[in-house]
Amino acid sequence: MNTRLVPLLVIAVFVTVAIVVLAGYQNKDRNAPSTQPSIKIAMSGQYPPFNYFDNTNELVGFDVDISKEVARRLGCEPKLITADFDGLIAGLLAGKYDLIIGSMAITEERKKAVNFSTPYYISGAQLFVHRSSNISGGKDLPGKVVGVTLGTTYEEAVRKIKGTKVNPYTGVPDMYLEMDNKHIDGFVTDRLVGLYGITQAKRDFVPAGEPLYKEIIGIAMRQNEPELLNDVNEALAAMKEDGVYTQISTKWFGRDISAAEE
Amino acid sequence: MELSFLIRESGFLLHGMLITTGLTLGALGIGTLLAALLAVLRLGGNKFIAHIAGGYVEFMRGTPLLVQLFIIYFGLSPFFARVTAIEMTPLVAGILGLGLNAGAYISEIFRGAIQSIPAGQMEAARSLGMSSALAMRRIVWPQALRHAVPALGSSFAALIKDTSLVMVIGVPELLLATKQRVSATYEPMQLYLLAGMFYFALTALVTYAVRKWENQYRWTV
Repeated sequence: MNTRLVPLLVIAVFVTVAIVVLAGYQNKDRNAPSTQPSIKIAMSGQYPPFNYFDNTNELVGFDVDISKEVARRLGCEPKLITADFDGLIAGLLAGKYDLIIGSMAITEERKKAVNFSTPYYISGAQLFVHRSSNISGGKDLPGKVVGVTLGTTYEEAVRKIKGTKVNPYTGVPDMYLEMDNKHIDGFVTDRLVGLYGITQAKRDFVPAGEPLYKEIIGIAMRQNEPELLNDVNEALAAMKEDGVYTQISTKWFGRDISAAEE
Repeated sequence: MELSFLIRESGFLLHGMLITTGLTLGALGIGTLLAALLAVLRLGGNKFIAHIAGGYVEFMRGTPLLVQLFIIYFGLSPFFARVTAIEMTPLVAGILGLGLNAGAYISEIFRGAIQSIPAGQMEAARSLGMSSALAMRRIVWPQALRHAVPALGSSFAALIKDTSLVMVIGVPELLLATKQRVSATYEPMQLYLLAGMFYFALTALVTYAVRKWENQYRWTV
């Protein structure tokens, strides 16, 4: 074979394969026959038990069930999209999806960029430590190293506690590893997420003291869509009314999480 | 480390690996073609075009790939969608970003290789009546490519590893698939090790192919 043709051939093969892969990838979306309009809903997919991939690689969790129920009541086909949590708002604003149902806390900062629905659950920021640790709450944190997940409200809150060193991570499991390695003295995450994860990961971590503060979680959407906000709020109210919300909540947490734990 | 765990998780990661392979191949295609074009433009007669091509290369090499991916996916792609009504999927944006970035690096390899061919080669070809484009294609380029192949190999390997950055725009490639499994199983060490092995397998394959390509040039001038 003429060797001069080799590189050309190689490139041709690359391009062909890439096109085939691309075509195959996009076909998958088209296969679902949709008579309804679709609504794109984003979450991190890395936040069990709210949204995560189970052992059959299916996206499941409380947020997922809520997403499907909200979409159903809006008369839309839900299309669930996963992306890193700290990039969710950027993606929403860029029009990559229509809603974020990904356990995003309602904050003043975020409200400047997006609209939030009425709260769909309430939890708290909880500090977790080793069972043997002498840290008994937020007041013991100065001088300690605390892990948080990047872009969360916890990161912001812990940074405000003077004298505390904050180590940001991209996911909760990374912090477990850091706890095992004793690189951090404790970590702050959602109370429900932490309690679930500790059991799953069989770690000897315990919540230290009361939750640092209450977290009110809402569904985020772009600000120029007041009608969508209205529809989502109505859907949430209706599902709380007719018991479907309680059913979903009980399935994942054994209780209704629409109000704070007493 | 349990074997059944590894086997099960490998199955999940394999899907991510397929997407990583697609990303690599697509970006390689775009990057190599773009690189050849850039190198020729930079060495071509038109100073203005050469400066633009040079500026592009400097910009792409001087800014982080991560930032470029953000700009393409969050900035360029909504604009593109408004103008053409075509929605750029994360995968397409990822391939484009990687390809545009790799093109800049590979073009420098090509430029160096072309410049390593003595000017006398081009002059001799021109004196035989070839146009400079024909002389480039028939005389200079084939010789230059032989010099470029080893460096191309390491560029390709770097590209494979760069694909992991595309995770940030939500392409479920190998590293994102790994992170999702980490979230579900709380076994970071095993899974990241496994992902590392998958990446190594891919780079080893590409390195092997490039070595073969190199050997071919040893006997045919």
